[in-house]
Amino acid sequence: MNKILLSRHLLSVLLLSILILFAFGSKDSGSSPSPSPSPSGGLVPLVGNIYPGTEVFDRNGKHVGKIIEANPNGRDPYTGEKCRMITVQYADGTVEPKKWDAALNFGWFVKK
Amino acid sequence: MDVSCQPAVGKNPKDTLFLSGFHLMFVGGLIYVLWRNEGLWMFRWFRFLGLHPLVSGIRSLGLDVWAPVREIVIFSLPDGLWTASSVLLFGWVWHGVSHPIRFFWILLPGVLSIGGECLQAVGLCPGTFDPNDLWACIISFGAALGLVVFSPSPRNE
Repeated sequence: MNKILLSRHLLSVLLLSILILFAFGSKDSGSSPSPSPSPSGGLVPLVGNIYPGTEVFDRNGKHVGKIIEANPNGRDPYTGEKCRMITVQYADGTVEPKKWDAALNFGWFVKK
Repeated sequence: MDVSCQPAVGKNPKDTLFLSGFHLMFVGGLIYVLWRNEGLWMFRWFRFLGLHPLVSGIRSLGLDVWAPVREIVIFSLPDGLWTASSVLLFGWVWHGVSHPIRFFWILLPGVLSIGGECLQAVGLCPGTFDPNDLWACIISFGAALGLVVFSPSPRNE
């Protein structure tokens, strides 16, 4: 392999590394405020495991409420923006729509 | 090579490939900065690099996308831009080289993005399959590949 080809291969590897870094940067970090250990028996952080009927808990294991709707083709009721939406029914009975992606950062936990 | 029927892609085709690829990547990145949620890895990196005030300032501009195409622009277009810019940048690297190995690198972004979407569709790759993402990748890959292949090139190896 001549030097020019070798240099292009090396440049290509470098470029591919940068492109993969860019692609990785666009992935969800799953950064809940508390990715720490599961708070109490059998709870895991809410990451992508959102389904209607999912019960959610805080980091202390206290019941927060239940996801009663998960809509991947929803719309933000405040901005009209199309986005994945969930509807949460809190333990006190109040119902509130939330952005699906935002909910991943609430520090909620679900049962395994 | 007869370049008389080649499309006019600029005075220096190699520069055009680089600038096109760079700008498409920039636009794709800007879409993420403006409209995607801050749970993405890149926002962690921005904080680490001390760029978060700048990013927050840009996001606070409150720019919006025309509603009928908002979902496609925000969620699918970046995939297409990544694919196209990658093809163009590899085309830039391998511009002027006639060795067949260049096709491996130039086709690689298309294989990764389109293949990844197809694997998502059958559940073999993590992520959510979206037909719009797939179309964005296919169209942008085809367009960028056309630009690279038909770009006037002094074949010197």
